[in-house]
Amino acid sequence: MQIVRTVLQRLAKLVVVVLIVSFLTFLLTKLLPGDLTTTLLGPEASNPAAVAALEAELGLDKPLLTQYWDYISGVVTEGDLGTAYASNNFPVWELLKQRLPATIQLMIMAQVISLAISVPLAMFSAYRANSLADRSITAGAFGLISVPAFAMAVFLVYVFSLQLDLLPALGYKRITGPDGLGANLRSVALPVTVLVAGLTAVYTRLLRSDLIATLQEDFILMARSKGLPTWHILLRHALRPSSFSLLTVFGINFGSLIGGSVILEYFFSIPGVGLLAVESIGKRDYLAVQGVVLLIAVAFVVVNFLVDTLYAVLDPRVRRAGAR
Amino acid sequence: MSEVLPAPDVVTPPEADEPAPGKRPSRLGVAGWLAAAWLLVVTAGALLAPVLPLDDPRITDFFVDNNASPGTGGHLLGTDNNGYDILSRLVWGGRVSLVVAFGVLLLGMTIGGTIGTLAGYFRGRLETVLMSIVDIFLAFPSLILLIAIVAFIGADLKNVVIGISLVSIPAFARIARATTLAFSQREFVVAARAAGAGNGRILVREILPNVILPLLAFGLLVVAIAIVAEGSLAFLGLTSTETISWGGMINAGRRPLQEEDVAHVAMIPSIVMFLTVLAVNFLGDRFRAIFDVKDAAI
Repeated sequence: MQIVRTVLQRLAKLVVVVLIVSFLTFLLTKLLPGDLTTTLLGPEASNPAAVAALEAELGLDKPLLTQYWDYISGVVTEGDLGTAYASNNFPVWELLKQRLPATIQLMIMAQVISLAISVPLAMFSAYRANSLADRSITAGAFGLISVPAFAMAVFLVYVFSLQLDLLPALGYKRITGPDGLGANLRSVALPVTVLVAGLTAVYTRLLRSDLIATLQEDFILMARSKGLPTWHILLRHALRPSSFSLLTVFGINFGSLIGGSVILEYFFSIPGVGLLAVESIGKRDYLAVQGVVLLIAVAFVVVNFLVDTLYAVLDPRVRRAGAR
Repeated sequence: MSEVLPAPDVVTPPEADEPAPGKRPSRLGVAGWLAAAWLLVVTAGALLAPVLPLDDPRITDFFVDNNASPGTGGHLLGTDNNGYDILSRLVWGGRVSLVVAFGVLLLGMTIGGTIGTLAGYFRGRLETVLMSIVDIFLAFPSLILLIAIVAFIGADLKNVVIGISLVSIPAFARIARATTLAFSQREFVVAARAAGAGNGRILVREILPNVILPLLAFGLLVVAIAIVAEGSLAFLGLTSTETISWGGMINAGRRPLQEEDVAHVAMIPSIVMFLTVLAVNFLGDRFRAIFDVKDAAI
C-alpha cells in the first residue's frame, strides 16, 4: 500500500510540474513582441478593426487566464492541442505527428547505439583503470564532449560526403519512401553519428567512474575469491549497482533530445520536432510552440518517473528506503 | 552535446583517477599550458581586433572569388561565401565568444549563486520555494527556452547574453546551494555566530569566500557551454546578422559544404570553436581537480 501511495504522490507532483511548465510556456508566448495576428494578416495588420476581428475569432481577446483554461481543458479532455494558425491551420497534433517520426528515429537510434558502445567500453576501461587503453578512452571521451554538435556535423560531412562520397550531406528519406529502409538509414547515418559521439562520451565517462567505485567493494572481492570469471563479475555483479548515474542521464536525454536535436535537424534538413519549434517561434505560432514544449515536458517528466521506478527495480536498498 | 546546460542533479562518484587527498595536482601540465596559450591568443585577438592589420570583416573582396581557398589573394584562410576574409572574421568573432563567456559568468553566476547561497543558508520554506522554481526551469527544454527568450527580447548580443545567463541560473543555483549546505554547518560558521555575527555578516564574510571558488571552477564549464549555446543560436540564424560570430560563420559555410563541395568556409570556424571549447573544458577540469569540486556537489 505504501508503494502505491508513494507512486501516486510522485505522479501528482509530475502532473503539477507539467501544468506549471505548460502555464509558463503559455505566458512566455504571450510576452512575445509581435504576435500571431501580424503573421496572419500581413499588411492588413495595420488595420485595427481587422486585428480585433481576428483576435476575437482566435479567442485572443479573452482574459489570459480564460485563454489558458480553454487551452489546457481542451488538451486534457479531448487531447486537442489547438490549431497551428500560421501553418495552414493544421491541427497542432497533426503537425507533431508529421514531425515526430524523424525525431524519434534519431533519438532512439542514437540512444541505443551509444549505450551499446559505451557499456562494454566503460567496463573495459574501468577494469583496466589507468592503463594506456583506459587513459586513451578517457581522453577521447573528453575530447568528444568538447566538440559542438554543429562542428562535428561539419567534420563528418567533410569526411563522409565530400572526401569519401559515401553518405548524403543532407536530407531525410522516410522508411515508407520509394527507396525504403536503405535510403532512410543512409540519410540519418551522419546525424545519428553526431549524436552517438556526444552521448557515448558522456555515458562512458559516467559508467566508468561508477564502475571503478563499485569494483572497490567487498562483494566484488568476494566474487573474485570465489574464482568467478572476470566478465561474469563485471556483467552480473558490478554493472547493476553502477548503472544509476548512467540511467539518470539516459532518461534525461530522452527528454532533451526531442528539443536538442534541433541543431542537427537544421543542419541536415530533417523535418523534426525541434525544427518545428524553431519555425513556430519564428512565425509566432504560439499554439504550435506550446504543443512542442508540452510534449517535451511530458516526455521529460514521464521518463524521469520511469527512471525513478527503475532505481527500485535495480537496487533493493532503494525499495526498502521507499517502504520506510 | 545537444544539451545547452548539463543536467545538474546527476550524482557522480568521485573520479577514481583523482589523486589521493593531500596530493592534489597543483600544476596545469603541458596540455593545460597549451590550452591557456590558445585562450590567450583568442582573447588577445578579440581585444586587439580593431588595431590588428586585418581586412575589414564586413567588406567583400571583389578581386577574388567567393569561397576562395586559403592563401588566395592575400587571404591567409581564404574567403567565405560573401567574399569576406575568414581570418578577420575569426578574430572579430572571438569578441562575441569573449563577451558571452564573461557576460554569462557575471550574470548567471551572480544571480544563480545568490539564489543558491540563500537557499542553502536559510533552508526552510525559502529553500523549498527557490529550489522548486529552479527545478521547474530545469524541466524546460533549455535550447528551446533559449530560442524563445531570444525571440522575445530580440536577437542582439546583449540579449543573447541575458538569455544564456537566464538558462544557466539553475545550474549555478544548485552548485551554490550544495556548497553552502556543506559549509554552513562548519565550526567557523558556528564560531562566528557565537561571536555575535548576524546572518548578513556570516554570509558575506564566512560563506561567500568558500562558495565562490567552486562556483568559479564550475563557471568555466558553463563558459564552454555558453560559447556553444551562442554558437548554436548563431548557427540556427537566430542572432542578429550584424554580429560576427563563429556559429554564424559555420552556418554561412553550410551551403558551400553541403551543396558546392567547398569545405574550408565551414571547417575553419568549426576547428577554432572546437579548440576553444576544448581548452576551456580542459582548464575547467584541471581547476575543478585543484579546487576539488566534486560533480556530486552539483
